Amino acid sequence: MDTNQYMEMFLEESREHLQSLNDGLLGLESNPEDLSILNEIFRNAHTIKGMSATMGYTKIAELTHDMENVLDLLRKEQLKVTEDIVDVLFKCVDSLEQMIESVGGGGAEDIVDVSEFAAKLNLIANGGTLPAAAAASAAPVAAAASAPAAPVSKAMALTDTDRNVIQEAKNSGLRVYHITVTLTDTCLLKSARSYMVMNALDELGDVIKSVPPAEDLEQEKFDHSFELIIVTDAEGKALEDAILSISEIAKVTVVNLDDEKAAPTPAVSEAKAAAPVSTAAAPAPEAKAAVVSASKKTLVGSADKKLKSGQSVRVDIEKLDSLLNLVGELVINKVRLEQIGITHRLTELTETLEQMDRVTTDLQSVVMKVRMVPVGQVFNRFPRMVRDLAKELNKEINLTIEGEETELDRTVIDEIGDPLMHLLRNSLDHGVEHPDDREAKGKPRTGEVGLIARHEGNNVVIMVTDDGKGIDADVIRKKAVEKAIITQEEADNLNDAEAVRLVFLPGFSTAEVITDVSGRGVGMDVVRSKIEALGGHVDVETKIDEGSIFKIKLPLTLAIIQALLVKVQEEMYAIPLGSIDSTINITPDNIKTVQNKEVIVLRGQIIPIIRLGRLLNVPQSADKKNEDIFVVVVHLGDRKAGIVVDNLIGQQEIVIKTLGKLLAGLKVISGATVLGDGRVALILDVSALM
Amino acid sequence: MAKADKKNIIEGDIQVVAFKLRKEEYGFNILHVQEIKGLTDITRVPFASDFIKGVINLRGSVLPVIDLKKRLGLQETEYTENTRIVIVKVDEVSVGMIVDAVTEVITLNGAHVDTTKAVDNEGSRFITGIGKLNDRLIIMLDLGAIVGLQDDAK
Repeated sequence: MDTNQYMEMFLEESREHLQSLNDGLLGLESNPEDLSILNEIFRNAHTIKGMSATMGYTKIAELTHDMENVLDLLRKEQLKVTEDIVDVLFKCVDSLEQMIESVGGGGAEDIVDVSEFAAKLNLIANGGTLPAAAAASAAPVAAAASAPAAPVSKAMALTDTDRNVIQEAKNSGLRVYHITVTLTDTCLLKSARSYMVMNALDELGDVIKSVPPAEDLEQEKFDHSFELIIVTDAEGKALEDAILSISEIAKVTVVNLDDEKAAPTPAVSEAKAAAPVSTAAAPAPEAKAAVVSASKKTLVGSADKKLKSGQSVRVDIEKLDSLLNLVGELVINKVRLEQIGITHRLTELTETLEQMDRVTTDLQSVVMKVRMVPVGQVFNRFPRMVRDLAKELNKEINLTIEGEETELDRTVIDEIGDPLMHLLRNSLDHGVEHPDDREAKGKPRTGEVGLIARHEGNNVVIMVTDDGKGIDADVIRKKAVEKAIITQEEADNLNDAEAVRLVFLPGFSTAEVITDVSGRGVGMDVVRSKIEALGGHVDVETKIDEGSIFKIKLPLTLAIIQALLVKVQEEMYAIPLGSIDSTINITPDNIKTVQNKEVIVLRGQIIPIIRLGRLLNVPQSADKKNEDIFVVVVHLGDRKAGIVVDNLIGQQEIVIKTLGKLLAGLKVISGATVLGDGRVALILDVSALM
Repeated sequence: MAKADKKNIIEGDIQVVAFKLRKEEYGFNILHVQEIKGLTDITRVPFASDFIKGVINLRGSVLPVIDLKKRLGLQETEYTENTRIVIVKVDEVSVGMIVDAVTEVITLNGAHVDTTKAVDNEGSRFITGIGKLNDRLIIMLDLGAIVGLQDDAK
């Protein structure tokens, strides 16, 4: 089988399973008794084993297999969950990750030496069990070791839930069959055939399990045969006939699991599923079946899961990007048509366009929704990081995650991980004190770190909170002056909140000892620039000895926004509506000066003004005097500023385009957009103006 | 990129899009040229390098355009009806180049391209060689250096 075409899928799914392994192990660490977690972990490890064996990565398969042995003993409660075991398992997961990434990058899988872990795992497996159990676990080793070589005969391992269901089915008088279907060598549409088989069987009973899983069958991720377990009240012969009526089926083997149960040696008699694996010589991992009927999980859950995953589609993000681009083009052209309708007073066109407007708006929101991904995808890698880091720093940390279902645009999700990681590291390293120090201050030994996401209007807010020592504004002032970031005079003029914000300036690191965790002086300003590049904004609130809150505000989407178009001389600029407070019309004598800076007073508030033409060096063509002045009042956090422009053109939907590498990093301009008439207008970066 | 260009020039024939800047004839390797279009509205970009004239809309994408004469240190002239924007792609970046007129696509024999620096002035670091075709001289340009992504983009 040519496995290359499945590489992408293998990588993606392996990553998912590794992630759930990580999550599971973390859960296990805090709830060592929880069997359902163990089962979940076991399933994940097992899936990775199966996939990697099919792909021919025997090293990965072997390591997961060793892990499985240990996990199996754990879930059979023949072994107690200890910190050591969890640590070893974590390390194995790390190695698996490296191996999988390596093969993903076209490298060899054995970049990590796993023999040490394998030895440890075997030691745990053997040392912790009774002689009899050890023998039992030895059997699967032999079986599975030979299995990966021939993916077709891959063992069909039953999970506890499966066994439960089988048992229940038998109790209620139904029959359970194991079916092996082999397609003809010449079969071209394997997935279609397997689908037909599944369909035919669904009419007769419930297919409770298949190897490979249903999704893989759909994606032709199997050779020429697959195995199924079905619960039905029909006769074995009926099943066989049903399947054989489908063309291109070479062979069908139907085995009644009840009959098998009575047959073999006493040792494996309880292993109901052993026989189906007739291709493999030894009873394979199903030998573990005996004790597990204690688990109370029902099949319904896993069956639902399977159904759901069958209904979703994996789409290349590039396709979504181009779809979004096309919708963008459509919006631009719609706006252009609207302008034509207005200029030529074509009521019919305008009316039709109103209809079209509704459709494009819907289309746009659907496309945006498709691109939305829950932030949980980024958050879920942090518990592990925090755990490791806390150990490294000898601190006790409790991480609380809230709002992981909050959705953000995919592009934001991809970019937000690093800044968040940095903020978290920062909180752990500089924020939360050592347990002893905390005790001395009368705080609980365990530090609370929070990662919270939620919607706020048209934005998503992500907060990293800690109950640590907070940021001392005076220390920041002193450091900033020392590092010549600001002058002493400037420092004295800053209030505490402003002083604390200095941490976001380049070249700032307050850690007295530089650790490899954080504090190389490149941290916070990188966080800020990254967030701002995403059209967001980061701020910090802090109280000495009570903790700090880093607050990131991000726009829901990056691609299409509402903006106000303004004109300066002959140049057109777009200001994102999200940062506009109001627009006002003033006369020149409304402008006052304070310390040589121009300001206006708006509803009792003094607001500095920025003359856009002067700021952007717009070529002066005509001199306008003493006319009304248009001011766009914009805000950033709680600060405000008035932007003086020559004319307000109107509010419009704009599609944001990047200016590209050549013009990257320009101050004040965050991007460009194509207007209805085909001209390009630049988008102002309000945060850089202030 | 610059190296690759030089190599191309030495080995075999190369096709060159030839164009005029003032009185002189210049050329880009045709492999870099995506299309040639007439002058359109150019939006000035504040704070960009002075040789970047602004950005244009090319079927929905926003592209920067470089005034080639300014970049090469030649005196600027008014745009005429012959003025063209040559869209080139260098290092995965598409850029427009404003030239006075596009003359033709010519084939130069590698042997007729002189890669030694004949002249040494402000613009010479952008030149990879001088091609000779009958009695015409075509100055071959190093697009990587002109776009200047590596060094002086700012």
